[in-house]
Amino acid sequence: MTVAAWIMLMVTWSIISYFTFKFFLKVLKTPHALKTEEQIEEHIEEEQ
Amino acid sequence: MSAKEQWATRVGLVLAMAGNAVGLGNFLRFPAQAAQNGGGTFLIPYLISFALMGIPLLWVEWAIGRHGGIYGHHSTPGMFHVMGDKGWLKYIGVFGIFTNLTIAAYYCYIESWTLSYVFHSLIGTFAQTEPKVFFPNYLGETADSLFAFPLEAGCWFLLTLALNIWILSKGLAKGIEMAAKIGMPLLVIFAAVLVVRGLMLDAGDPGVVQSPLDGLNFVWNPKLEGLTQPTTWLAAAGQIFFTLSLGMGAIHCYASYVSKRSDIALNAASAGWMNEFVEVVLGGSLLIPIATAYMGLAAVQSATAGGGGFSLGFLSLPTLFNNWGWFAPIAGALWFGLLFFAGITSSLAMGQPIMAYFQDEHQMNRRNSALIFGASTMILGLFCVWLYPGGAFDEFDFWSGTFSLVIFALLEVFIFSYVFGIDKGWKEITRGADIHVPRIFRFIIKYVTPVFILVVFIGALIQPAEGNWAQAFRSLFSGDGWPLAANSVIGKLFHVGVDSAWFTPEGRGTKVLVQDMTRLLLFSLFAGIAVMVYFDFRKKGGSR
Repeated sequence: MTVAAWIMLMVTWSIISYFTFKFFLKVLKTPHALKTEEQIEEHIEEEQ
Repeated sequence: MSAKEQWATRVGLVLAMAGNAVGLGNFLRFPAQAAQNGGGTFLIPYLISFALMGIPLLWVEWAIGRHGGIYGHHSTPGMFHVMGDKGWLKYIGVFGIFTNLTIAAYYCYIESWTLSYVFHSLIGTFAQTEPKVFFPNYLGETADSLFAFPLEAGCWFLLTLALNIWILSKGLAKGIEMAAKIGMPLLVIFAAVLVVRGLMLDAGDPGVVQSPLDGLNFVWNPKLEGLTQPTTWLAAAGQIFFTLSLGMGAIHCYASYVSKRSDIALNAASAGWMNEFVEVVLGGSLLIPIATAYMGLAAVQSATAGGGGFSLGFLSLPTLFNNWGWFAPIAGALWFGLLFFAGITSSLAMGQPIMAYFQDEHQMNRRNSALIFGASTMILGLFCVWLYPGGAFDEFDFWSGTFSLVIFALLEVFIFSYVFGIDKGWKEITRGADIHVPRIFRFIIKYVTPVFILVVFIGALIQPAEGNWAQAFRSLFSGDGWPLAANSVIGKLFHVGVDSAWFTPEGRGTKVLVQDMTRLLLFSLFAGIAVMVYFDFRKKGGSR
């Protein structure tokens, strides 16, 4: 492989891996909230 | 209003969204597109397109979905209906039903090929029969026939469809989410095993004619002149568009089961980047390096000349794996297994919006709505199976899987910014966000993304012959007209470069007949769904 190809590969892989793992780790650390009927009613009232 | 279905976990939701995006194209189309469009240079417009079109559109679709879900709408007609007081908005949502249904029809067929290839790899079929001989027989293709009635392929198709229906009928958390939690990690593991094995191939290994690194170099070596070619930019933008499954209505549907105050910004970014990881890091290091090692670079260049890696993936790789001795059947199963997981996590995402429509608007239960999806997919799918040699499959792929996605995305981004309003839209995107969404994206969503998609659309509409835009403009200004490519939208529509007669002089039907009948079917289907939406919403009166 040429030096330019290695540079392109390493830079791109680094950018993509960095954001992939950064965001996924953040997802893993934050719990998921469920939707409730109250929240739905509240939103519809807010918009009206 | 319905709040019955829920995602069990946030990780499950993100994996299901990533699974929706990760498809066969990540492993077959991306490496070929990159290699044919400037190598490493392709990644520059690719990443720019991801930032200016991919990520903004992901946020827009998640926001439309979550907003619609709050009103109890989990499919796009209802979601668009509540985005404003204009009666026509719900008809834009028809795209989200139409594309998912028609893409699922032929996508499940391709998915069934991967499942059957796992089976045939394990029983050693490809050690005895060349895939190039096996494949046409499998599809039941015979010379000069527009029809095929392949028994084995038909059975695998029905089995795959039954599996999809079964998973969908289990529900969001126990079906789709569970499938993503199993399928996505396995897909990554299978791909990683093959990447490591492929890159470890050495000149002394049996059958190896060239270093796999030469294949990697073919994908990554930057050819800077590619940056000045409009074709490279259009190819990169197109790849981003299709790899993220934008403009389908599936993202909207999954996001509609997210609670009002839950984050969508981080979820969307995480799923989007995960797709990029699978596509660029794994997909870019698998097919072409292994094929180069055994076939040589020249043969690989020729096989990917059309910008697709299908023939390498289905026709060449199973034979090449035979060089791996006892590991060959396992390698074949891993390769087609990962393609199967990529496929099924996407086809499930196509089924859910259809089911959601019938659940929301017809108060159908999960089982019956899954059966409705299965029955309609089977009818449309068998049309593709039986008329495969006549070109029905390709017509579905082009008009549903390419054209209507771009149209829908273009319309939705305009509606989001200018009908729903960017102020409300921005509030939807940032509400409950677990990451800081840079304010520049407000400007990008309103002005840059629509222009980007419009350019992609016009590029596809009038793509010149051989992708040579400079030559096309010279030809236009010199009075010789615009040299349309046969695979441009207009070129396809008017059968540029082919005889457009429906019958041969002997009175036999031609491929053009099948193509035009397929278009008529697709158009009628779209119109039929629009009529159904009209009556369903008329019953509701003014209710949102």
